[in-house]
Amino acid sequence: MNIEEYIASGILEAYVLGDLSDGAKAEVEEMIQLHPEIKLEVQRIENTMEQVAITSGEDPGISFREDLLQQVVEKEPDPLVDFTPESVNQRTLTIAVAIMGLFLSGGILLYSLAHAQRTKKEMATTAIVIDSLAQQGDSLHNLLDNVRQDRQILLDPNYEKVQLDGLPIAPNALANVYWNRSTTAVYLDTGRLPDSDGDKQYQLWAIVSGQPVSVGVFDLPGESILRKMDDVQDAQAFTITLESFGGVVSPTLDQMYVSGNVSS
Amino acid sequence: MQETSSHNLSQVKILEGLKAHDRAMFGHLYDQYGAALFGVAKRIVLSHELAEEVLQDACLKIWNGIEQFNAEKSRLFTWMMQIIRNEAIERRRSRISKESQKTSSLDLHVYKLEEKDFMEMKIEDIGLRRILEDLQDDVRGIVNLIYFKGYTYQEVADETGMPSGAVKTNLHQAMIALRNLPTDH
Repeated sequence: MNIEEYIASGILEAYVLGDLSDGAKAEVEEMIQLHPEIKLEVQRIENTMEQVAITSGEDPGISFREDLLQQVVEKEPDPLVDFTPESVNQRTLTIAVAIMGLFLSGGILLYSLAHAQRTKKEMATTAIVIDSLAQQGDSLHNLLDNVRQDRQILLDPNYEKVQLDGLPIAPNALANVYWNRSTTAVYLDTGRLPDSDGDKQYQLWAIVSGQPVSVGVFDLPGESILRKMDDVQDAQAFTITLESFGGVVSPTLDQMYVSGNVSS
Repeated sequence: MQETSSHNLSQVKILEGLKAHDRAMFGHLYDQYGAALFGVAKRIVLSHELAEEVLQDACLKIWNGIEQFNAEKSRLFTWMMQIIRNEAIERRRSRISKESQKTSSLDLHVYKLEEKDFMEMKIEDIGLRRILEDLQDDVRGIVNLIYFKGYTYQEVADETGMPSGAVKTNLHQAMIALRNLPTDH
């Protein structure tokens, strides 16, 4: 029998429908392996049968769909289901048992899932809290370190305290400079100064030999208590002006906020 | 090969999902093929309720037995169609044997292998009906009995007296004609 005759015999349709004995089925599968034309023909038959089934299909309805999906999908593989039909009564009983089992296991599953979900959420929340506490701890630790260092400076007799009092532009303002003559180090406690705008910065000046020398710029509010400023030698006074961002070469006199003399 | 490729992609995707026991994917599978499978079952068992039971059992077998499906050998739909046909045929037989014990009669309407009219199967698609109407009577009778009503080749040969070779070639003729079914569904 040639291939055309084999195809025309209609055995391939029987094969696709599943209506062949095991022996005949194996023979067809061998022919499919040997002849691509036969394989192609089988695929055509499959397509046709699928198209006809889809075209002549009938939707059993949305509620059936929901029941079915719940029944089939919510259920783990269960040997109870894999029975061969015997009598209708026995079958109905088996289905009833299966459904009861299904509801039971479905309930347990849902409960476990909900529980697991909740635990998972709680763990996630806890992790976030721990994280944030750890961050807070870190920053508190840093702050404490800074305070300790600041305290060392404040307690150090080598640092002279220069109190800068408010000038007419800001009568209530106050700042302190801690200056070490021998090391020339300068620390600033900004005390009570109004916050600076984004495009303005405060600038600390030292008056050295009657001339203003810039000791650095800073923003307010700031994080630390004492700021390390530039070193300065032989200062007679300190003053703070509010200047353009980045500072200027010489202070703007009508923008002086605080000022104080070094005690000689 | 060309003509199957448009289906293969989604079949591959569906298969991956089913094998991973993706529940949502079973929903997709049902939406794509549920009506087709229900139609197959109902034409065989001739009862809406029985067809629902058959589809339910078949779906359990599909969901739990997806590992047994071999994509090298057939399309997914072919495998599912074989499962639901077997379920439906068994259901019909067990019902007939049960009823025949009560009535002592084999002369039941569901077992009559008359061609009858395929109109009663509520085939609404005009394209499909037209192709079926245009078939020779013998060919139409065979596609009706075997493909739609799920009788075996042997049953049909025995009951109609048609040689089993002729039964096969008639169904082949029908399937050739049905290739012209518009596939814009």
